[in-house]
Amino acid sequence: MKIPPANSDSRWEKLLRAARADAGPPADVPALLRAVRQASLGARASWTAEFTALFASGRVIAGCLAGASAFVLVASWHAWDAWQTVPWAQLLDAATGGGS
Amino acid sequence: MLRHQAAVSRLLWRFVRSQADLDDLVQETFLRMVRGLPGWSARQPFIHWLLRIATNTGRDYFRRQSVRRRWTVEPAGPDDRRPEPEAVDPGADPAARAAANEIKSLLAELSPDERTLLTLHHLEGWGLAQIASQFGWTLTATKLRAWRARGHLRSLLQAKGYQ
Repeated sequence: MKIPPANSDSRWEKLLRAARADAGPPADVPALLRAVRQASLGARASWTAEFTALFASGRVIAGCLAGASAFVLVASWHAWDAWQTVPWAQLLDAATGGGS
Repeated sequence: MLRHQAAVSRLLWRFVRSQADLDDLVQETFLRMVRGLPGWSARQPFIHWLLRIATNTGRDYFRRQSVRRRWTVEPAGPDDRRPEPEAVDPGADPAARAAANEIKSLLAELSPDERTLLTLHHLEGWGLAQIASQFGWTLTATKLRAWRARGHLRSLLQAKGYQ
């Protein structure tokens, strides 16, 4: 593809030959590295990725189950204690025959 | 990344005229590379994939420039156009830099796709088959685009007094 095709020594062709020899300045490599590093760190910042990474290990799941069981045990104990101290619960207990 | 940044920088220099724009485009290319890295297939050479990202980045830059030019106030005449800031590069050959800038100014009058095609073909010396594979165009469509772009450029050169 020559422009214009009929005249290879035209001003345009001379310009092209000269322009191809033009080498640009070097890019700012430190700034490039900083930008790419920030982008790489930011790519994992979404909460879904963090959540998935957190529960990727089997130990974490076992620990969560143990913690949840302990919480349910303690919460049931406290609920039972509170049930005993509430006056209307005692009335209800008496009305139903005082089984406890 | 350090190994390939020189090739990317050299290619993108054909699209810009200032150091700041060059740094922006090189950064944009490598950021796109980082985001697209999971989709890279090892079947194609990494440098080919990276240069494809770079050429797309350059084309997007031309498109942004075209939109910006359309929405800004047109200058009163050719003499009133403010020159773009150019790179201060003591190592550059002044004659080559002047010729490259003149060609870039001329190509800036074309549409972004034509400008991209002729930039890669004339300044970088790529063949039409290589350009077609870079943009995912068919060779026939690329030849047609090149023919149209050449026609537009020829009329532009005639209007500007080039022989």
